Amino acid sequence: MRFPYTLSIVPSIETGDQVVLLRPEIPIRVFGPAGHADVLALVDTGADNSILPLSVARDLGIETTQGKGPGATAFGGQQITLSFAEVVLELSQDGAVIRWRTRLYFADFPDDNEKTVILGHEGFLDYFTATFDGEDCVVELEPNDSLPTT
Amino acid sequence: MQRVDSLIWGTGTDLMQMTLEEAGQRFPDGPQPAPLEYAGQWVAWSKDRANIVAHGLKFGEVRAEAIVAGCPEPLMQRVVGTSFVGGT
Repeated sequence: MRFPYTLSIVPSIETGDQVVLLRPEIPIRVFGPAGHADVLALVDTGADNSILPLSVARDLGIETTQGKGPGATAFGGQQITLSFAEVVLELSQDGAVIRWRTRLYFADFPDDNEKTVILGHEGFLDYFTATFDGEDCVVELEPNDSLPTT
Repeated sequence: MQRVDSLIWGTGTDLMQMTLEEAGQRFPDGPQPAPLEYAGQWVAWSKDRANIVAHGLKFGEVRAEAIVAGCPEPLMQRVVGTSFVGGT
């Protein structure tokens, strides 16, 4: 499956003027007891885990278990408390569907302005050969033999 | 092992950053970016990603609003609104 990067408008770091960035953000479907939701998620090779906001889990009726460990450390050293759950995810494109069950982590951010959706190694990249084509701004994902079934 | 005597890159063009005008020319038919005014919010895109049908701070509320507006399967996006380098 080949997913074009997603365009995002941000202020330029250099000038403050509005510019467009391209990120490997792709649509993914998250299933829960109360239904499913499609979210744009950043494919992040620097993330150990796949992390969604806890609000997504709550909306889909996904019961999460609070982690007993120290959580995760974000860039800049911020500690993030995480809970986790076994969740079914789905990628689809042009009639092709890839669906698997995996462990996802959920972050309960105290501030509504601090939420991101990350597809890292555990739960996502471990199951694919990922090619990031910077020139064409496309990420290609080929499932490998480790992909779990639902 | 192949020997590499020297390998020097010049300052290249940043393919991942462009002006709004350049983006419109380069990607005229693909999904357009969410306006910066939605930074820090969730937006719900129509299934074809052509229109934002709802927006706000709460994921569940925005998704429900989109469904009520006739978009049963909105694509939810958290608009970061700045460059992103990991973390939150």
